[in-house]
Amino acid sequence: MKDLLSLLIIFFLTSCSTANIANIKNSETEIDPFEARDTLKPLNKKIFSLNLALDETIIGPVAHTYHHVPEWGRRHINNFLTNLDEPLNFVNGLLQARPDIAFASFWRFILNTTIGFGGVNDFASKAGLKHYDEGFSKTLGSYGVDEGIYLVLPVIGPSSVRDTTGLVADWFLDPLGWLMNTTETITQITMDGITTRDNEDAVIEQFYYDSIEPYSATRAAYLQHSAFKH
Amino acid sequence: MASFIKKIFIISSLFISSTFHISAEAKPVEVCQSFIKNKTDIMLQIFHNTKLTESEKRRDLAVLFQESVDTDWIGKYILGHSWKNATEAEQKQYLKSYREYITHTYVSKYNDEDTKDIYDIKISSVIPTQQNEFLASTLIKVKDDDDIKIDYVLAQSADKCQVHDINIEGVSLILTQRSEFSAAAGFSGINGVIKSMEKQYKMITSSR
Repeated sequence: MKDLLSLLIIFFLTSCSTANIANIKNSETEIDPFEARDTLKPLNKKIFSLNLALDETIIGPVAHTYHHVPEWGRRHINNFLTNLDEPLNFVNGLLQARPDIAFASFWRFILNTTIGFGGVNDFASKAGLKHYDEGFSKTLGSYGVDEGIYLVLPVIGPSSVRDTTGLVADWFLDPLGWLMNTTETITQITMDGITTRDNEDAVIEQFYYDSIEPYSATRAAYLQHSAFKH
Repeated sequence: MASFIKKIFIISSLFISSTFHISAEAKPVEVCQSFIKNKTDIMLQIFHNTKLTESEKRRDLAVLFQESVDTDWIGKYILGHSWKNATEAEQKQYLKSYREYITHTYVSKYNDEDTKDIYDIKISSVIPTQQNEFLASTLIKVKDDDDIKIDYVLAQSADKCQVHDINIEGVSLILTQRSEFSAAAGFSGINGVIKSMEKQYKMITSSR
């Protein structure tokens, strides 16, 4: 799914090497390995608190209200928004020199937009075309670019230098982005935000509200999952 | 895109068998394979049991979670050096609170809607990582969605296997909680951690 709120551009050009997660468990050190990636911690913690407050008062309640839409309706909306990401997946597939991704994304977009009634039906998956979730951050990863330091972005939440760079680059690389007007773009971003919050509700509840120290728990989980994805 | 909701709910269902006892003749790897197979089979049975209500499934999961996961070992590990500095009474209270907190944090999230599309669990491999420790890799098969990769660290002691870590899509339970609990203990000590867990436990059990 297209990265949320690409409008926000925070571009830090600092980085550090990625922690070797595999060796952490056996390490005797008491130093938190994820702490070392968080060189902007005072700022990140402030933004995290802001995000938590936003989620409690606005984003969470909106997403919970959206969840009352019947499951089939939410599925169609998800399909529609996912289809809008296929052109970007196609571009990143090409940039990664992955013709399989470019091919699948191209035909998924064509088939779902036409036979799938504008993308609300995921006809392509039934035809055996796998969906790839590609962004420029993944493309950078395929070139060997390190993740860099941990960042917390307003509204969006946990990120890294590479992921933030990827967000900005995707904003410019997305072929559909060039064709949409401001209202359409804002609508897409808003719907992306609501559906993402709805889809990830259990994870967000887990780390934001069920943890005894939400900041550290969210950071540790994000950095591990990010290393796994790339 | 695989819904992460499903992934997180699966955590709660990974511990649904009773502790698996090892026969004297079985090889350690085979024992761990059987342990995981046994758990996953029963998990699917519970998921698809139409006679049980969600509440009954959560109740059963809570019991089985505590039987299958070595919460005492995990609790000690994630607290780091604060464990060594605590008194015996504090340690005892901490482990009791942790057992309740971790169980209900995960099990309370179970619901039928998020598990209805899970149709199989494949065991990809079980390999020894160090003495008496094995890594079991599994793939959760979800209808019309991506597979979900979950790894378990299994510890084998005298007569039983127990789970020491769960790694879902790259996120390790013990690494995440070690970061979280060490930070919390650094702010407020072991007693602060105990109070936080008790507060969270009350919130979780009252809201669900």
